[in-house]
Amino acid sequence: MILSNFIYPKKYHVLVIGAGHAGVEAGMAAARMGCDVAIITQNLDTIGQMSCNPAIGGLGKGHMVREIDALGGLMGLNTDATGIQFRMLNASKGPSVRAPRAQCDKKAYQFRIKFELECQDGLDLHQGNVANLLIKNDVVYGIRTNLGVEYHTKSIIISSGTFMRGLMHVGKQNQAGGRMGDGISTLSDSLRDLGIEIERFKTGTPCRLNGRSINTDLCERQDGDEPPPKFSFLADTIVKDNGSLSGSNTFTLNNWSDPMFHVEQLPCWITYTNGSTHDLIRSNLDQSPMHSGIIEGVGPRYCPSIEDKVVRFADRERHQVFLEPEGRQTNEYYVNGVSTSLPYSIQYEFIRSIKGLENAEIIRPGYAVEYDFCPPTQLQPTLETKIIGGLYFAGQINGTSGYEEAAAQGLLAGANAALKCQCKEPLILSRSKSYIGVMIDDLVTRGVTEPYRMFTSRAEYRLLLRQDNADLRLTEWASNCGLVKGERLKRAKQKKEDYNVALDLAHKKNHEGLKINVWFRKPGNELSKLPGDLLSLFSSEVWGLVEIECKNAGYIARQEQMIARAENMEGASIPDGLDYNLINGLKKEAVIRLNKIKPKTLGQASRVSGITPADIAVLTIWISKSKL
Amino acid sequence: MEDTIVAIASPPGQGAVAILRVSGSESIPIAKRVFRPKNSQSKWLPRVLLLGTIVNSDDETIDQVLLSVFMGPASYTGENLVEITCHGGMFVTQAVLDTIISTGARLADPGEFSKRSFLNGKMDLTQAEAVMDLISARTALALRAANSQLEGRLGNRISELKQSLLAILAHVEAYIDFPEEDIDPDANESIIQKLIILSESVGNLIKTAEQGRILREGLHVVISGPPNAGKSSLLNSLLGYERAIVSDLAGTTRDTIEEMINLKGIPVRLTDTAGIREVEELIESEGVLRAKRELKRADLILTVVDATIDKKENEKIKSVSSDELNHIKVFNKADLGIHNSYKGEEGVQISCLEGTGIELLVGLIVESCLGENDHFAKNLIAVNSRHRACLESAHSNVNNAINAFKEGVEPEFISVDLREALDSVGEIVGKADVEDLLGEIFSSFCIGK
Repeated sequence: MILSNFIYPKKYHVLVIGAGHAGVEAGMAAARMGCDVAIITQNLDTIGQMSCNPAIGGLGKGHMVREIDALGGLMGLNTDATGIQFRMLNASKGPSVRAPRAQCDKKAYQFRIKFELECQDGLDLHQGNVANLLIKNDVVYGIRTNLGVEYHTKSIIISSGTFMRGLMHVGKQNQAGGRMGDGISTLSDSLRDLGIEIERFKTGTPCRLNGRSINTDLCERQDGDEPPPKFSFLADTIVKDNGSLSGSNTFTLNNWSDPMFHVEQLPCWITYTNGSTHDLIRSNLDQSPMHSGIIEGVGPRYCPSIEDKVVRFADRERHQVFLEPEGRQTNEYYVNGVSTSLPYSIQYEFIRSIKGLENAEIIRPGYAVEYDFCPPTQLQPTLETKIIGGLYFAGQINGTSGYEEAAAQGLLAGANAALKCQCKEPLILSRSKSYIGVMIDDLVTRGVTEPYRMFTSRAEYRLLLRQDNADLRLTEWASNCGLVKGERLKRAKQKKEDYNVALDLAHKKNHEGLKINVWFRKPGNELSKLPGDLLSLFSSEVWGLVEIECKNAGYIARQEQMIARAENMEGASIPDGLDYNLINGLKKEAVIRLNKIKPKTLGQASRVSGITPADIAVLTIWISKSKL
Repeated sequence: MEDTIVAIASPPGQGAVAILRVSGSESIPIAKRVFRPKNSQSKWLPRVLLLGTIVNSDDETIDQVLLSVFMGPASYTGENLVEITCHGGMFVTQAVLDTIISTGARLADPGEFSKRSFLNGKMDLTQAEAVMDLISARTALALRAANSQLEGRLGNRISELKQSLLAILAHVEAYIDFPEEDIDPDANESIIQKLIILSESVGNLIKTAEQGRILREGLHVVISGPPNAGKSSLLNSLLGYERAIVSDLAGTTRDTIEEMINLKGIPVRLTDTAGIREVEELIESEGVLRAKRELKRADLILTVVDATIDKKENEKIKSVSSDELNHIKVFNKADLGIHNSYKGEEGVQISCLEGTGIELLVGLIVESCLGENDHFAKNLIAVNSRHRACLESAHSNVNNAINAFKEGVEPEFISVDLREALDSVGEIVGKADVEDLLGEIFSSFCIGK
């Protein structure tokens, strides 16, 4: 045990451990809500670092960034300001499954985040390595660093990424660390002592190349979309030398100057592995720590290493490889699709077997990393642990993967920690209102069996959770607790009002002999075919929402009916601390599971794995009886 | 918002009448869709018995019933509730139940009526525990029954359906969620083909639901023929053929006599249309109509004639028969000799008096059920009302998906139909959750950008 030699004089409401994507959103959210916040990190120079792919967004993830933005988070604006290639994925599919994706300038992204944190009122940054949590009567009161400095606080959010007992593998060589070049955290030992369960996951990253050694003539070029799709509902506030909500002179790579969003986009390049790449990998599998059994942690199925791809899909002749620029002021390229933990020598050989990469210079090797995480069923829907008051987890510590997933959890943990300090009601997003709600409910109710990533298929009300209506769904709602205010709130309210008026008009006014809402449903009819005097009534953004609503009215109504049917259950709360052993008629298995998860509502209880409708019926009667 | 549920409220087994209850906000609209009051002027007043008929979606009469409406909260469940009293007999009750389900009600979960009753304050506190016990006990029973039905062929068939639906959904979802992977976007044609095959399989399963009914309800055999041909004697002979009578249901449905017997393991519901002759002059009389209906529903008709009488004489006497249906001609009183006019005609010669030919006839009855219908023989499966409702919902959702694909609807909308279909099938053999879906995606497609 490290002895305390300095108690930091300032007392905090919320202290965040880790300054990755979860940590920065957590700290900023709590600070915006008026709390005194500290973020403590091992290395101030890696704030907001994209340790893997320097890209934000994609299906499900892009949706979540829009939601983070609608809730006042940083990620959307920061991506818009520092992106170097923007695309709208699934543009040819329906509106609910379109999502923005951007390559970012890795360094610009993190420096801009750091500056935003430094400019935020009520937020302090500290460099330090947390050794212990300070707990009294099962409630947190502070932390102690390995230098013996104590910081006292009402609540703690741990967002430690892959750093807890991180172990990196390159071939059969391994070394401790959460990321190549960095150290580890031993915080998980402290958590285990508190009774928190710990398990292990694995993830991996590919090598990076010097772009000068890539023969792009042999690769397919992939350009960004013009005009570039944006992540933030406030993207037009990003103007030269003032891209920050805090009003400070935060720098920006891109800028809005009416009516255009100016981005100097960089291309990505696509190439493919081939038979000799696969042969090389196959003949060296015994040197892979994954395939020789050295790695124990479970890795994600959606992000397999190239070794896995070659073994599991042996009949595939080739696999795609995306070469993605890491920034404007660097020649470093991320080699997406060939994450690996093979020895450096094999990486060198197989990379050079790929078309266009014959002379490639690896500047950083790929590696696998194993790390500790805490199964998230130990959390409440506020992301506070069930057993320690004031202790919250966000990001990879909860067994998730991805910057967006982490940021979303950070935002919600930060908001809830702040609300608890202010003795206010918690902020819990429902599954019918947001992807973030889907994710958190999945985590705390069903837990994880592999690093959790968002997919749109996880959302049962997917058609309603579009990237273009995240602000309508969330902004005003989140303003009730003080999470969102000012310009963002004003705009969202205005947009909602305009939208309602426009939708009403579409139901009343005729065009070509049909009510506009019906007219939209005829194949071939679209917004641009409406007369100009109608279009000029509302912004194209608002008209776009109306068009989608009218065109898909049938399906949208179907999903809304599903929500209405579930509402009884979602609204029925289960008393805190209910001992399920007391309930006659519940199966033993149900008792065990429900006692572990401690669901907050009947809806959540019904999603606990192994719980049947009959269990819910029995529970419903018991609760209603106990209310009488 | 509670949905509307239906269940048979009278005890299982055979009674003179059976009672069905429908409860929930849609109970009265559903009743109005399936019930035709005898007096079209009748008002639907609460707590008043209405006489009328239950009709199916083709407006065919299923049974004459008594119906009463109870407005919530003054009802057993506290919700709007409709009680229907129909003629007992498994077939009729089942048919009424199926009609109500296909009109929008859901088969109640075990103990669900009591649960609603309690939640709506219709029972006092002390009864809560009893309701909870009832739910768990009945669920356990229902589960055992369902499992025994799903053992073997039916379970396998439906599990296969579920697996193919999951595979198709996985393709659609992978196409949506992983736009940057090499997922064949032009797979629509092949997916449509797969869905068409799937739709056919589900359709076939629904058809075998009919055959499943035969196992459950019995093969419906109607004895028809002119008076004094020996119909009642034949009935008695068949009854005496095997001691193992399935149940003692001597359910008299007015003009017809119905008996349940077991012929070589096949339950047979034997109906003697004895009542017809007494009213044969009155062609349009209720009895004849009923007999005709009975014949229409029959799986097999035994046309009995007195073989000692001239064919022409026999044909002079009006009798209700139908020739397009599966039937066996039975020449009774063969011990007294066969009249020349029947020479060359196919049929079974029997003598109820001496008991000759009965064995042969039983063989033919069983064969008509099993032998001729090869498909049925292979699919000796029973599907109960719930399964049937689930399969029908799956069928219509799969067909919606096929149409949507053909119209070029975007994949995320088609996914809604596919998910509902998968859910319906899952109601029978266990639901597939997101994890199952993701498992299918990652094992079929190499995702990994």
